[in-house]
Amino acid sequence: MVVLMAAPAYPAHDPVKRAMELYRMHRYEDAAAVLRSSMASVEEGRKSIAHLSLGLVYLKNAELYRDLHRTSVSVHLDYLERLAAFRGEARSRLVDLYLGEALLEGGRLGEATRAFERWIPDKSGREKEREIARVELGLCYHLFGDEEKAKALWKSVNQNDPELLSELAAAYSKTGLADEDSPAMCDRALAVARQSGKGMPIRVIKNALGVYARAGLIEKGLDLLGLVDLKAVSSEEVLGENKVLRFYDLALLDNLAQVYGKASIEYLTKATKGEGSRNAASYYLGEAYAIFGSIDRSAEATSSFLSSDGTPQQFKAKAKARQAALLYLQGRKTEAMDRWNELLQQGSNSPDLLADILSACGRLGVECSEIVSKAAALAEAREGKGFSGVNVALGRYYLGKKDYGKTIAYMEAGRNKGNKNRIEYNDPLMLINLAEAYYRTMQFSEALEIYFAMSTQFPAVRQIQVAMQGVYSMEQKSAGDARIL
Amino acid sequence: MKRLMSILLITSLVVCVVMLPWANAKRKTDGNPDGGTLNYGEYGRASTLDPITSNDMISLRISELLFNGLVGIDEKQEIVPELAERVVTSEDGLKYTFYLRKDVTWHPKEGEEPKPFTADDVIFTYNVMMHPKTITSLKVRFEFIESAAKIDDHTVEFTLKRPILNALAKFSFKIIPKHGPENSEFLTREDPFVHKPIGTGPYMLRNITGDHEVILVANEDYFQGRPHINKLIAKPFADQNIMSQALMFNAIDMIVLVNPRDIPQVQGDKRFVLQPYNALSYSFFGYNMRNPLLADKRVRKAITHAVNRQEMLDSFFQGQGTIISGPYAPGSWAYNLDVQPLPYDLEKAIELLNEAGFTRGADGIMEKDGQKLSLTLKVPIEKESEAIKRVVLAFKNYLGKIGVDIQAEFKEWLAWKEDVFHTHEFDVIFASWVFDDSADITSLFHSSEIGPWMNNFGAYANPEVDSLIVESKLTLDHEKRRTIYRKLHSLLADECPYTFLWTLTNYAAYHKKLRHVAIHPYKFFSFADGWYIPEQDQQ
Repeated sequence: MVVLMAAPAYPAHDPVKRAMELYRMHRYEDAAAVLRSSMASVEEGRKSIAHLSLGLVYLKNAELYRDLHRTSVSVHLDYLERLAAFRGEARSRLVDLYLGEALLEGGRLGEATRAFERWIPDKSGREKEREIARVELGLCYHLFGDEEKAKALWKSVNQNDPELLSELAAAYSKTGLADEDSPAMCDRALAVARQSGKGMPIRVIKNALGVYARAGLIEKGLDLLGLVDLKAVSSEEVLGENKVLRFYDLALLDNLAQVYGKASIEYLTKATKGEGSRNAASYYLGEAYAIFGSIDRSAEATSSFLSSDGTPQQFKAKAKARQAALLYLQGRKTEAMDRWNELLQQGSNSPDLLADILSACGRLGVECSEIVSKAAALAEAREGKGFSGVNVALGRYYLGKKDYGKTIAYMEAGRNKGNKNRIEYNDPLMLINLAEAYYRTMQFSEALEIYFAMSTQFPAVRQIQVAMQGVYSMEQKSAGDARIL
Repeated sequence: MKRLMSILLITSLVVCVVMLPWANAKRKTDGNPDGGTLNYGEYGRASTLDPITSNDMISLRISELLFNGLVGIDEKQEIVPELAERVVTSEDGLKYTFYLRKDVTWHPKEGEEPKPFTADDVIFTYNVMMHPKTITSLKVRFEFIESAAKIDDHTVEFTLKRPILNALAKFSFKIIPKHGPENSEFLTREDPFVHKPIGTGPYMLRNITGDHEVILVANEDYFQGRPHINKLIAKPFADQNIMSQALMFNAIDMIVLVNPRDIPQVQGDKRFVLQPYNALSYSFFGYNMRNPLLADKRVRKAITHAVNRQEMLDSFFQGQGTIISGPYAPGSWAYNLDVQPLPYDLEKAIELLNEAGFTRGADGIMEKDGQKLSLTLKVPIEKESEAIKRVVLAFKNYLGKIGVDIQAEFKEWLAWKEDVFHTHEFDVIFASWVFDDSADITSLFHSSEIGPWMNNFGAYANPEVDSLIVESKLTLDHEKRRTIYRKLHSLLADECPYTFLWTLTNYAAYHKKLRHVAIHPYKFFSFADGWYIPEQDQQ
C-alpha cells in the first residue's frame, strides 16, 4: 500500500508510527483506537500528523463499511425474501418487518411501503414492533412527499421506549425536520437504555450513530462505538424448541460508514492546518469529499493539492485522475475521458494510476474499453505486488458490470494466495468485493471464509455472515457425504 | 427448474416433471480439440476405485471420472441430468420416478462388447449399497428410502419413508453395473470389482501400474460426448513437497491439493494457475472412546485445552488457515459463529484431569487406579510431510506438559485405515474430514454408525446428539435444520469427541496448457470431460 504522508523521524513507540503500521495491515479499528487513545498526549507540533493519520484511517474504514452495507442489504434481501416465502407452521412473525427495513435500506421505497402497510395490521407482531414499522412507514411516506401522512403515524409513537424514541429520532433526522431535535432525542434514548440495566439495544446505537453523523456530532458518534457489541442481533425470534431466527439492523453498517466518512473529513481538514501535513491532507481530503461529501469541495481540495510544491509526481497524476472524474460528474464527459487518456500517455503504464482511473470508471459506470484493454494487457504481462492493484481494479470494474467470472479471475490474480483471507495481506475492500462475486456465483463457502476471517477485526460483519449462511443452507444441494482427506 | 424443485420439495403440492434434455452426439460440440494426456499428482493411493466401499477423497476423485449418478449437480448448483433423462415426483413428495437414458453403455470388459445401462443396474446398486454385508459408509444417507422398484427396463421408482429436504440431490449416488461385482448381493473390499471397476463415466480404467499409477483413458462412447483429454494418469506421491517439485519440473500437470507451504512458490510462477476450491474440510485429533480413559469427557477436554492450536497453525502452516471450534468448516452454512475454540490453558487442563481422578506418578505421567495416561497416536504415512511431523511432535510435547504420554506411530495409508476403521486399534488419530456442502455429520457422530468401516471410528455415542441428528433429518424447514446444526456444533465443541483443529487453504495448481478447467469443490473432476489441451500443447 502506497501512502502519501509527511515523513518526519518517528520516535520509538510513537503512537502515529504504531497506528500507521496497523493501517498498512488494514487493521483500521485498531489503528484508530491507538490514535484516539493517545491524541491528548501527542505534542502540539505533531498533532497535525496524528490528525492526518486518523483521517486516513477513518477514510479507509468508511469506504469499507459503505461496501459492507451495500453487500449486507443485497444478501439480506435474498435471505429475507426466501424466509418470507416460507408458509409452514413455524413461520416468522418478524420477517416481514425486517424485509420492509431491508427494502427501505435498498432504496426500494414502494416495496418497503407495501411491506409495512401489509404487516402493521397483521397483528402477528407485538405492539412495539408494529410501532417500529409505523415509524419506518412514516419515513417512506415522507420520502414520497406525504409529510402529513408521516406525521400522523409518528405522533402516537411511545417515546418512553428507547428503541422507539431513537427510531423516531432517526426518521426525523433523515427527513431533515428542523423543528425536531433528533440528537437530543437520541441522548435521551441512550440514557433511558442505560438506566434500564437491560443492556444497550443495537437499534438505539444504530439510530444514534446515524443521527449524530447527520448532525455533525462526530466525536459523540465515535464514542458510542466503544460501548457496544457490533455483532449484536436486533431481534431473536424463537419458534419452538429448535428454531431460532436472528434479525439484524442493516443501517448500522451505513451509519458506521457515515460516521467514519465525516470523521475522516473532520480530521483531514484539521491536518490541512499543519505545515508538514497540509499537502497530504489536501490530497486525501479531496478523496474523502469525492466519496462522502461534495464534488465542489473535493475539487477545491484537489486543486489545493495540485497547486502545492514538492508533492510527488505519482500523487499529482492520481489527483489529476480524480479531477477528471469530478469533471465527469459535472457532465463534462468528453473532457474527462481526454484527461484520463492524456494522463495515461504521460504516465507510461503506471499501474497505480491505471488502477485509479479504472476504479473511477467503475464507480461512475463509465464505458472505458480502451482503458480496460490497456489494464488487462498490463495485468496479463506483469505480475507481482506492484500490479496487484490493476488486477483488483479490473475485478472491481467487472463487478460493477456484474461479470462475476471476470471479477473472480482478476481479483484472484491480485490476491495474496499464501494468506488468502487474511486482511493483513489483502485489502479488505478487495476481499469483500471478491466475496460478493463468489456469493453471486453460488460459491458460498469461499465468501463465508472471507467474512469469517474479517469478523475478528470487523465484528459488524456478523449480520452478513448470518444472512449468507441462511441463503447457503437453502440453496445447498448435495448428497450428505463426508470423507477422509 | 430450481423454483419448481423448491416448490415441490417444500410444499409437495404439485406433481413435478423435470425434463432433462440430452443429445445423441458422441463428440462434444464445443469446438475444443481432443487429445493429450493429463498427469495429476495425488498425495496417496486410492484404497478402492469403486464408489461404494471407498471413504477417502483420493478414491472419490477417481470414481467421479469412472461413474455417473442418476442426477448430478452443476457449477451453478443446479441439479442436472446424468443417467436419468426425466424425473417425476409425486404430489406428496414420496415417490421419485426416474426415466433412464437409453443411449448409455457400460465400459466394456476385456474381450466383451459394451453392455447397455438399464433399470436393473439402478436397483442392483441400491440393493448392494443397503445390504448389511456391504462395507460402506453410505447406508446412513439412504435410510430415508423405503423401497426401489423397476417399472420397466428404463424406469425405476423410489418410494421414500417421508419427504426430506433436497431429496433429488441424494440421487446423485453413483450407479454400478449388475454384471460388475462377482458377488451379486453385496460388495466388500475383497471383490475384484473394487480394484478393477467398470462404469458409465467419461473415463475408463485401463490399468494400475506397479508404481500404483492409475491410468484412465477416454470413453469414446460417453453419452455426454467423448471427453477431450485422451488420458488421465493419477500419480501417487508419498511426500507433498516432492509432489510440488514434480509440478515445478513439469513431471506432472496438476496437483489436486497444494501444500500450503508451496503456495507462494507456485503463485510466483507464471506457467501455473492456482485455483481455490472450497472443500469444506478440517483437521482434528480424534479419540477412541473404547479406551475407558478417553471415554471421560474431562480427559478429552483437558487434552484440547493443552494444545496450542494457534501456535501450531502459525508455526507449521505459516498461519495459512483458520482455527475452528466444532464439527463444521467455517465456510459451511452450519458453522456456529457464537462458539469459540477452547482456549490454550494448561492449568485448566490439569484441573480437569485431577477432577477426573488422575494424579501425577513418579515419572510425571498422569495415572488413575494404577493405569497410566499413555496413548497411541496413529498418523497415516502419506501425511508425513514436514509440517505434519511437527504437528505430531508438538502434540506430544504439549501433552507432556500435563502428564499425558503420547506414542506416535506413522502407518502406511491402507494399514492406517485398517487400524482406525476396521480393528479400531488406536487411542488418538490425526486426520482430516472433507464434506460436501450438506454439512451432514450423521456418519461421524451418530451412534448407529459405530462398527467396522463406519465413519464413527471413535465409537462416540451421545443420545442428545443422536436425537438432534435425527430431528434435523426429519424436518423440511431449512431454518430449523440450521438451528439444530448450531446446537450440534455447540454440543460437540463441549463434548470434544475430537480436538477440532483448523481448516487449511485449498488450492489446486495446474499448468496453463490445461484449458476450460472448472473444479468441483468436493468431487473435483465432475466437469473434467470438458477440460482440454490445445493441439500445440498436447506433446
